[in-house]
Amino acid sequence: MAYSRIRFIITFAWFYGYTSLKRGYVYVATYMITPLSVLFLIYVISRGALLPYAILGGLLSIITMNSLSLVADVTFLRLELKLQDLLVSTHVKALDYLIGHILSNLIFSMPGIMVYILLGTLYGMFNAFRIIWLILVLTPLLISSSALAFFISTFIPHVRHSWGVASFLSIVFTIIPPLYYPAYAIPVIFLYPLLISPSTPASLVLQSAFGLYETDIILNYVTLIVETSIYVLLALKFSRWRSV
Amino acid sequence: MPTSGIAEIEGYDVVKEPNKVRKIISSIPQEARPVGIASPLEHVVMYLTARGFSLSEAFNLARKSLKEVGLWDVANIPTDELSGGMKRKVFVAMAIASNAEVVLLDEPTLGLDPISRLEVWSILKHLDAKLILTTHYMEEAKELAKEIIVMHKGRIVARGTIDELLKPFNGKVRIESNIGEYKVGSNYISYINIEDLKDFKGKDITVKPITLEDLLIINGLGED
Repeated sequence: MAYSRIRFIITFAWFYGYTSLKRGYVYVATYMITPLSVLFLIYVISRGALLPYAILGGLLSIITMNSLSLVADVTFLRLELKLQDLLVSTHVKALDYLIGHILSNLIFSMPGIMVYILLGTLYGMFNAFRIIWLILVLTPLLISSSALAFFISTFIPHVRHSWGVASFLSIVFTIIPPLYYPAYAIPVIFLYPLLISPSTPASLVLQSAFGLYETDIILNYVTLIVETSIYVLLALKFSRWRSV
Repeated sequence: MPTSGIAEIEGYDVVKEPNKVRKIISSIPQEARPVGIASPLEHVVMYLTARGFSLSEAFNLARKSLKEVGLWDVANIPTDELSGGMKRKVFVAMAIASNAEVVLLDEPTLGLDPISRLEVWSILKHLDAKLILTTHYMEEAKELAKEIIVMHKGRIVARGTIDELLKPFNGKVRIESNIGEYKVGSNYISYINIEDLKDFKGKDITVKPITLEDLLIINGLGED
């Protein structure tokens, strides 16, 4: 049974993630344009001084934005295409569907991740220690943002609302938190409300691991893991799966 | 979830034994539409793995069913590029490939052109599974169903074979004119014995044979 569930998850990632990449590559340019534009602005304004923030921020943004775009995707698949209706009459569980989407997202985000890895490498930002932190942070960020998006999407009654919610969350979770700018630039008191976005602790950990901002890396990582657990739990326990 | 009553499929309670039910059914919703970026082959394979088939089984069954519904030539083309009828056939291919004991199809030929509809009917007629089909097309019900259940506002109003259901109309024809028993749109419809037709000679009426539609008309089911 477990094997057949894994098989479905992989097939779903092929069905939705790989085909999106293969046939919808124009959207790769769409999700790349915001972080690259911000990178350009930061480079020009700071004369290159804040470029490492822009590179790390871009990497975090791509994962967060693509994960949050699930709000619109899952809503559309549920309400317009009735894909969820089709799957609930099979053995597929909400968890399988969610992991299938997470994996699809990862595949779809790959070109963007590669571009930023390349930029970071050219800028001499990476070493083994930092790459490990990168993987340790981006994985829970992908899971938590996707789980939150999935949870929200199952409550959206109309597709037209989903585009707005996804765009709103994308901005709130990637532009306002300290992803593209140093965390020390805002008072700590403002950081607390921003912690609701998993991108905030994720950014604090990476800025610390990359020597850009001194903070308690373990505490922030634990915050990210706790947030990820909460959002996954929300998605699995409270999402509307069979009852829609 | 149901608020009252019991529903069983092949003896399994749909509420108490959902896993057993899921194993034997394949359900295709009425408004299901394919994901535009994915091909018919990718749809059927994904659906079959969701039903627990191995990848090699899924590919084999998908190939077979896509050939059966006439989509094999476009099996690798994104469904965005297919016609409406072909898109609908993707779901018929899924249902066929599923090898389910009971297939629930909701309006499987909605929006199909007449030829595609005939093709789908022919496929469904040869399906080994027990088919529960929801349709508003009376000719479809007549063509495919051994037993017809007419429902109105969630309640069964008539049930039986086509002959049983049309028994009240035996020896009758339908006439449409500007006066009559049942008002449908701007027309009035009445049912009269064939031998009484001579009484209407020279009058402005249209005579039609009885169909399943007439069952709906006499039960007042066309009103909402």
